Amino acid sequence: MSKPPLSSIQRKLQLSFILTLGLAILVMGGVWISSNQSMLEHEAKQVLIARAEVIGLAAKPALLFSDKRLAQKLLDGLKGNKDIARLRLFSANGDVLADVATGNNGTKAQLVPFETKGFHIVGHHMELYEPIMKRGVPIGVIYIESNLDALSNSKRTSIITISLVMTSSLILALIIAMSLQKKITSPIVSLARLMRRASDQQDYSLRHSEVSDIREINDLLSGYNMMVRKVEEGFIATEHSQQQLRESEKRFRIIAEATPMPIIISRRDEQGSILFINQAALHLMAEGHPPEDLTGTTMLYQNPADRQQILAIVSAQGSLHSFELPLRKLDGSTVWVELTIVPVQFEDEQGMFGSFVDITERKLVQQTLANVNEELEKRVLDRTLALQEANRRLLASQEEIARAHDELQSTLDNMLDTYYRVAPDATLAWVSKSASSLLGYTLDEMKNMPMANIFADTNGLRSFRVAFAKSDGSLMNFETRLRRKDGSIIWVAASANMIRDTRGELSGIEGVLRDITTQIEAKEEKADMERRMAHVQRLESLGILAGGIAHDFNNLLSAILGNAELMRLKLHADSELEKEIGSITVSCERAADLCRQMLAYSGQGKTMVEPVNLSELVEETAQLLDVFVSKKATLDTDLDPVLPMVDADKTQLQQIVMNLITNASEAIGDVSGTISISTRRIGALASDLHSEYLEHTPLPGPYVCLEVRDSGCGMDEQTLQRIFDPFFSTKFTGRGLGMSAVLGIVRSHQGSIRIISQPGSGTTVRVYLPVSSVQDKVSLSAAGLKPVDAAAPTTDNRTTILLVDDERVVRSIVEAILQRMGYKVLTAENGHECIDTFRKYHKDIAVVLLDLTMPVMDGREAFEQLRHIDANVKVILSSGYSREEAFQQFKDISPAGFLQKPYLSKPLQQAIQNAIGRA
Amino acid sequence: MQMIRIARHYLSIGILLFTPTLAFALPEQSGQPIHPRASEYALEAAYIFNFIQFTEWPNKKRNMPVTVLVSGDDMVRGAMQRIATASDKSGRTRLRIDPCTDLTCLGRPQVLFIGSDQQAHLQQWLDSSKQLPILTVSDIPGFADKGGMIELIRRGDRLSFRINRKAIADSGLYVSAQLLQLGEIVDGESP
Repeated sequence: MSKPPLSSIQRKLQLSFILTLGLAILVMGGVWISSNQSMLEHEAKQVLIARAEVIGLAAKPALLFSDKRLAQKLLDGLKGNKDIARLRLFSANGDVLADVATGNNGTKAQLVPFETKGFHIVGHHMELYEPIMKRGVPIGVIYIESNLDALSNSKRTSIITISLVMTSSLILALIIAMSLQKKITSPIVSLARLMRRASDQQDYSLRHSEVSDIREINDLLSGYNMMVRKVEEGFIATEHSQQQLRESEKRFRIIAEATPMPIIISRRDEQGSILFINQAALHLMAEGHPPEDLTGTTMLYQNPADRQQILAIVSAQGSLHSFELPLRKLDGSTVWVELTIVPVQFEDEQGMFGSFVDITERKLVQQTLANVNEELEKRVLDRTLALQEANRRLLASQEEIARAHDELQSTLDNMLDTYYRVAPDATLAWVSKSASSLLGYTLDEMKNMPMANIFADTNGLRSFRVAFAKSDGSLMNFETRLRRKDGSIIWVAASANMIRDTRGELSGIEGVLRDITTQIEAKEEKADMERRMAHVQRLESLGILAGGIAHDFNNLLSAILGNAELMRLKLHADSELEKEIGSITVSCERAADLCRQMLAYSGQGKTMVEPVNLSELVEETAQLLDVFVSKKATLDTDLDPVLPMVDADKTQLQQIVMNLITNASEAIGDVSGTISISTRRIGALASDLHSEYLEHTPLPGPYVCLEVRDSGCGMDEQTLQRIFDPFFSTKFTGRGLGMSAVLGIVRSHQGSIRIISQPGSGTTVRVYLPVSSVQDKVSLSAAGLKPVDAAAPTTDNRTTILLVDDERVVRSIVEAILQRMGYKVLTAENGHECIDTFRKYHKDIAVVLLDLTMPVMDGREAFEQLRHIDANVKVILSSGYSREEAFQQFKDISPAGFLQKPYLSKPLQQAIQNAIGRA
Repeated sequence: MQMIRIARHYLSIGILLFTPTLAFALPEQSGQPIHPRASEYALEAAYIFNFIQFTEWPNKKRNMPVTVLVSGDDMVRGAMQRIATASDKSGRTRLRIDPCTDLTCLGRPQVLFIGSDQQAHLQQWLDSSKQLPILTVSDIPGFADKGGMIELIRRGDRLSFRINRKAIADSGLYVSAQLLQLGEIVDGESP
């Protein structure tokens, strides 16, 4: 069945316009009519309802009062209304109050039932039941029946009107559409005509010259013109290209024919049909045969699989180059070729351009070479095996060497001493691992480091060189100082040996360094200790000497002082000898003071240890200091008001203060100066307490520091070394015992003393005393001591004192004093005599005054025997030694008292009364 | 349009007619001297005239005048007379106003107005007119309760009326509901 003829765009547009417009107008008309109908019906209903309401309103009085006459009159007044067919007024209960039929085709009277409300369209009538309300309560119902004539007329009228409007609209739209479609299609038709002509006549020079006022049409026309121009140009270009192609092909043929390289262009079909073969190929492959015998390239392959392989390579890689394969000539002989294939487009066909070179001769040569190579390879293999064996042996020996090297290296690295090797240019060629810990440098840093860098100074390096030069190439234990990386100095013992090369020339020095810093420091410390020990021993020997002298002196002084006391007692108060006796007493006291200092220095002084506030003591002593301090010196004090107590002998501390102030004043001399005294509490460290003048450094802890600083002449090192030596003095008038005593007192109090002085810069002396553990002032001395009036004679004649002393002078003097005091006195000159006497008279003897040091039997033994006789015996010890020294012998038994010689009558009396008071 | 006209006529006629009627009832229209209470009597007369408009008597011919007996109250009678004259001139309802001083003048009137000076004889008047097609009107207080048909009552400066429907129904008269809805219904039957 043939296809229907193509319809023109004009007709299609016309048809489309007509159908579209017609449909649109019909739809619009239909919608309009139906909506108009609804509207008319609704309007009619509303009119009816309005009428009913008006009638109802008018009929309300009649309904309220059941006035039928009024109701009827009202309805009768509506008879003339053409729209109303029937009216009926019902009361609320359905009774008919009035009824009227207008005769306009209304319903018959008996067919109007009662309804309270409703609207119906029945046939050609509309019926409305509208309730009449009074204050929301229905009082009646009005029934109106209206005919639909008016409505029907309205409907008819509206349909006619709409139809007319639709028709006229349609006609108008068609007219507009016709003109529009003509405007649109005319240029398109003209264009179509032109295109047909161009294609029929193959004339692409035709152009459309019309212009349309529609933009899209214009675009279409100009687009057509542009397209046709491009097609024309394309044809011209194609023609030109084809012309060029033909010429190119012609040239190709000329060249291909003339080239000596065989060329075959074939198809990729099964046979490899030949599209082109030049003379060179024919000559090579088909000499003596007509070209027609060569039906395809397939027949030329000696191995068919080669062609498949070639095709696969060309497919995969796009071309094939220098592929060597054997071909078979038409005469059956074999020829080796090197083939290159490239896909080409040849005479509008897809083909393969193949060019090949005869390499048969080369193959022969290659074969020959291959045979020779094979022989060579065999020989090489044999030789290689031999070499491998030799290599294996060599590797084994190298491993052995490496193992030995590692062992040596390990030994050197693990040595505490450092092995080194120096190059001829005096740089470090090699060092063992311990060099890092010795000098602080890394091994890399020390490599090629100049030796001078590690010596502490140039003198050290020079000395080393000199020593090495003097040696016969082997230097042993040369002690020198080196500088570590951090700048600290170490001592080493170096050994060095010359290294000579095979020609006997110096190629370096090797040796060992041993760190002897610890030994050197220990040696220096030992020397320092020995020096200090010697100094201390010298001081101790002096102290012992001084102590011995002091002891004997004390006894002599006791005699002198005791006689002086007796003389004073016997003389009158205003005796002219009083002055001389006073002088004797003062001189004895001074001598006793000197003895105390010597004993203090020797550590044997009398001590009465008690908690002492050093600040208060300095203040108390300040009043006496004016006597000792130069008038040109200013005394400043800076005393800690809340200084803790120290356990010390107050008198000895006072002696320290006075000795230090005296020395400071003498150092200032006759020029103006300042003496500063200060006290403070410190937490002393070992470094604070270390003193070269003491053999032991006290333990660190809380201390009280007494500092005396002067602006005097200062002391040089030599003077400082001897300052504490007994009898050493820089002053012409000095006795040289002051500082010695200070040292002794400090030592006996487990303190420390330090001196800082420089010539011309004054001197600072710091005394450190340990803080007391008892901070409340409690006297550690024997309790119960009460002050006693000096030598007040006792009236108790029954108290007998046993006086025991090996010194006759002492015995006689003390006896006289005791008797003067009113005591009875028995004497004994040694321990034996003491025991005998006590045994006889122990019931009468109240107190025994017992000298500690006696021949035959000393005081200690005598005391024990006395206690055997009487366990309650009261014994007062007397001695030139200190209390602590004396009491050391009586640790398990406690004497009743102690008197240090020489003693005055007052302490004697007090001690006796205290001893008696303990009874 | 027709419906609106009808509605207006039947709903407003009673109120609208009072005013022009009242105008006619005033003595200055007739040139007589003005009584201090002339306007009150004129109002009452106007009301009576409008009552007549909404009343129908059985067996009464259309062109017969309505006889109105006024007992006692000469001022009301005078006002009624003036209204009757005006109404006759305008071709509307014809009225005949007669005085009535005693029961003997009760003939065949259509309307009987009992003045306030007849209060002492009120019951007699009512008894005489009972169940007769006579529209009884009075301004005596309690008139409607006692059996009178329409009682004029004054509330401030406004005049209203009370209607006894039973009395009207018993008399056989027809009083339009339009009038009934304007007054106060006595006898408990007000809708």
